[in-house]
Amino acid sequence: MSTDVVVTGIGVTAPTGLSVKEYWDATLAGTAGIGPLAGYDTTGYSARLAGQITGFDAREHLPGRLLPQTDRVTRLALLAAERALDDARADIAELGTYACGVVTSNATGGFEYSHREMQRLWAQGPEHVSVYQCFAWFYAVNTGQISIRHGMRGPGGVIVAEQAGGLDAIGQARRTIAHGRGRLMLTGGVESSFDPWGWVSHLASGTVSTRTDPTAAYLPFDRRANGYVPGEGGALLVLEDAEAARRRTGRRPYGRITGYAATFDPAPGTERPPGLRRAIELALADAGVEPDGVDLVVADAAGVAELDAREADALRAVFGPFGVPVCAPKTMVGRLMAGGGPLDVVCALLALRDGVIPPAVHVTDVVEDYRIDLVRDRPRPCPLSTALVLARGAGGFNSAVVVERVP
Amino acid sequence: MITGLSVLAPGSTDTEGFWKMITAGRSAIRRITAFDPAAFRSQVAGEIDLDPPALGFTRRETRRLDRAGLLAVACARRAVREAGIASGTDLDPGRLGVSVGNAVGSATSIENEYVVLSDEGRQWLVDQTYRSPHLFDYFVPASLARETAWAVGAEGPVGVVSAGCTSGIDALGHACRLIREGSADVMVAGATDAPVTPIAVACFDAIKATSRRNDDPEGAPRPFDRTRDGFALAEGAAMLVLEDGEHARRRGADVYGAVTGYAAHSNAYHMTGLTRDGTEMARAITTALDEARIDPTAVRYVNAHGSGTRQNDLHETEAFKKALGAHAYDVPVSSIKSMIGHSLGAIGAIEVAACALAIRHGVVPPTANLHEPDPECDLDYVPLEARERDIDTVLTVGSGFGGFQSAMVLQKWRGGRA
Amino acid sequence: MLSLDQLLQILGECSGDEQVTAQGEDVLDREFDALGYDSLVLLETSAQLKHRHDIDIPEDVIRDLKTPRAVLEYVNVPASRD
Repeated sequence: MSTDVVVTGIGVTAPTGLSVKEYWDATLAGTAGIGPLAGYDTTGYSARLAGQITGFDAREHLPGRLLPQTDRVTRLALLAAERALDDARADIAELGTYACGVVTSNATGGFEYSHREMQRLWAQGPEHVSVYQCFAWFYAVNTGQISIRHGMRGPGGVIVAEQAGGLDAIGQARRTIAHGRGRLMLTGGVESSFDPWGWVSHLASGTVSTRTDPTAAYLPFDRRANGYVPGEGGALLVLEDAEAARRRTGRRPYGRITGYAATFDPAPGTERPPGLRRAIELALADAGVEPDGVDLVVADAAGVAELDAREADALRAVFGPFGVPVCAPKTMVGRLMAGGGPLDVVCALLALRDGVIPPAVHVTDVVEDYRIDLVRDRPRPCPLSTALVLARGAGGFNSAVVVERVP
Repeated sequence: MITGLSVLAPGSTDTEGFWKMITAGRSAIRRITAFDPAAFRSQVAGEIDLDPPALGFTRRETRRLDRAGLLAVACARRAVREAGIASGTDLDPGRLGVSVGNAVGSATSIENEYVVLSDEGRQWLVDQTYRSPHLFDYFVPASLARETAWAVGAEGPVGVVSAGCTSGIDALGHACRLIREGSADVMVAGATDAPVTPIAVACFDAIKATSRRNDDPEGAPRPFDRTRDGFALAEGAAMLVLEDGEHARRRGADVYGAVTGYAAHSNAYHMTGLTRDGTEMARAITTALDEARIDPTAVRYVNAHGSGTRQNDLHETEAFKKALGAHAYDVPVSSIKSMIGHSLGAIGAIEVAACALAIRHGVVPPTANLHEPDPECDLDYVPLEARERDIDTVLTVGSGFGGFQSAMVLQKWRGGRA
Repeated sequence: MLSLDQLLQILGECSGDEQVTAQGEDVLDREFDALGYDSLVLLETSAQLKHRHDIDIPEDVIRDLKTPRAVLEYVNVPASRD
């Protein structure tokens, strides 16, 4: 793609902060946002730790009129959207409402809302189901509510690919700008489904960590890896054409999105190799970058031994043993489904901006055979210009995004 | 290029049956059989008599897959067979992708699970010991794309597109763009939804969007008719094989037609409401026609969203007039939702398939149940009977909750075989 | 009997408009449209009237009730239903 696409605004809703600064300070300090799931009695459930956003009161951030019709996930998404557009100092009316669009990813919909309505339906009867249920529960709700609130009528959409979907949305937004179909795209993903019914559904993945010690539950690449901790939140980013953004704002953007690719693993039972390596190679080719031009990889960091090994294999195959610094900021927030990839892109952009790699926390005993350079314990300062962000979704989704620093 | 397609819709068990039924102007809407609908406002729907063994599913697959998954996989298998790209051919799996439109995930299975785990709504703290081993797959709609990818051996870009009731058009539009930008040579793309389940019926009841014509199920969806009172909820799926033109030519594929224009917009107006003046849909149509580089007068058939709500009928009618000008009065416009109901995210893909079939067979499917046209809907809606007519350019449109309008242009491939 | 306060309470909850209950009689003749209440708010309000006060307003009627006063009259003055 010829057009240079840059990130001009960021909105974050993470277990470690509801602003970019809070999130980044916590991330560099190695502060984790993982703890016992709060809000109801979890003693009956096999896993009880989550990366939960605490202290979010929707009333403080949103007009009352949006509350009856929105699930928690949409409230978080609306906050992230507002912050990202503010950060970009974007005036939608001035840019043209049809030139500004929203593409988000979401893997589980407005689950808590839907849980409440299903209970009404089954316990009280169909006439007790809310009029807002018809859109509050589905995967398109965040894109819809954001586009309405900010008057963004441009190419819109919703892409779902479990944990990989957030990067796919960013890829789609970049494509929209690069092909001249939009001037400004708001993209990324936000996830939240921690009501009891959502929580049990998360646990059904079979790979959620059942440990109760927050410092030992989610240990990607560690010999003790035992599954992951689900997290909530995510990030939304404002993407624009580089030249247009420079003229509009006169400011240096957070960075450029220069490469993207998505692949899918072969069906079970075939002898063909998994698709992550191919996703990396295609994204680097898209960015026109050789492996030795990559300064940092933000790993998918599954926390499941077999998947960690597979990711390490792909990294070694492309970059060589210990060939590139690898970071795993998810260790501080958990796995955020569609929100995870975009939040990792934010991490990569801020790392490039500040020339520092945040540490993976709690990981002490990296499997030697992986031969990866996982940044641990404390931030590692080093000059950075190009980062690769990886995300995988259960079932075989692999996505990769390349971001570059704008000098 | 469209080189294969397959439809599973209410009232038939394959594409041929579907085409025969809709060109005969027959409605497949019936009283709901999936559950006892007596307590619901709308008790009619478009259901598929799903016979998994007959569709080639093993018992394991039947247990693992939600209805939406079964429909998607069955269509995908048939579509690739028709296109001649089934496994064993020399197509590089890494250049084959999947794009599945879907609005409400595995709604039926999710609700079934909920009912068990919550003890029919008695327990807020649902009991995990009762869960199915496949609950996670029902939880995340991405599993629908995964199953489709496994069924066709895709290892390129794979995903679900979920933009409410425009998901079907959008999944196909997304696939076209992936091909055009070079990310894939072939995409198996379409949509699936199986929402005939109490929670979905109840939520459309709540907003009075579905038909109350419970004593006349076949007559329930009556788009553009003065007596219409809402849509009929339905299930269904369609999968198409979209192929890079050069790729199709090289292997001499039989071509239905080409997707030459596509646009998707948010209306930024309302999550469920539509403006009376049709501006938003008109904009989507104009953008799609521009992408196809054709004049509005080139359109020979318009496949309407035609859900059968007053709000939509008026919005759409105005949109056609705005976007097509005087030509709107000359071009036939019809709604197949009058026969197979509204399968939410799936219907857009079924309608694209119907457009491809209309081009191939030179037949415009009718709008069933249209006996007394609404005076405010003054276009040619092809009431009751199909028309034979050479069609080289077709426009199909959709509107969805969440405030989405999409439009797609299909054109005949003049060369016969590619 | 349905009081204005009861109606405004429900309208406030269904729309999320926290100010409306404080306005009292000032809103009696303001159109729902002008108050920013769309058809969804009114359908939700109608459902809640049924659940809480056993008041049944047919869906074809609620569409034509444009102000709080019209709703109160329909509910409280049976003769107004023609």
